[in-house]
Amino acid sequence: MPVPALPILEQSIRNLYYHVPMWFGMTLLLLVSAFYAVKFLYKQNEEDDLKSAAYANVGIFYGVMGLITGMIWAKNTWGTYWTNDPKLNSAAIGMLIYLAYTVLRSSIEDEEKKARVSAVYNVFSFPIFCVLVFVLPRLTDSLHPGNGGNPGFNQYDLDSRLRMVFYPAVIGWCIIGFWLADLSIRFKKLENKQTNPL
Amino acid sequence: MMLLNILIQMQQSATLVNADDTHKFFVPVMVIAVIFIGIVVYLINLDRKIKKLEEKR
Repeated sequence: MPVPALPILEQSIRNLYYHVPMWFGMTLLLLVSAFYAVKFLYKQNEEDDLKSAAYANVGIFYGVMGLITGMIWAKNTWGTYWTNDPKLNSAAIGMLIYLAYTVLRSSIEDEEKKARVSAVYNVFSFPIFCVLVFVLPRLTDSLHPGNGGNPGFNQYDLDSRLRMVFYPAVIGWCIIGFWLADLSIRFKKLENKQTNPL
Repeated sequence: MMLLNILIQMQQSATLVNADDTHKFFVPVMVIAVIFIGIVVYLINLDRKIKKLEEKR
């Protein structure tokens, strides 16, 4: 599949099919995680807490993948792995917020308390994360495409060739993310059944 | 002359490249490798946890 020829980017434009869906998938996973956190706070069902944690974990995994792939891409187009760009820094802060979520979960012994505190934390951290990654970088100048007056890839995609691969890639990576989360949910359920049989 | 150059450049920027032009092709290859390694690490981790559960049985 041919891609638009652009200086500096060249063949690395194909990263669009990997780096960008990582962040799409992550946002969706974290949204689902926040949804289950709210559901847990409503119904106090242990299973919702389990799901919320699993989706958040896979979301973090996707985020780390997004950061690493972004760094590789940056090294080969901007010449450095990391710049103090608003998009990059706020993505890193967003990741730290969610890493704090896992630390919070592992630091509370009492299961019920852990579920409640982490659900509340989750509900608050999702909107903060969205503001950090999607709103703040757009208010200032940024190197990152699609931010601060910098065009996104949709403007290079003159005849929708990129879209033809990009949209299926996004859907595919999202499905893989949900599958990974589902595997760990099923594992946790089995583990719970074995450790405290009713 | 300058205008001609700009026009040629514009023309070039609108053309497409195929996979056989390999300049910077290694970047997406590296990216795919990183994601692949990440997923494999995730699966190995899960495998280890499942093994522990099986041994408990």
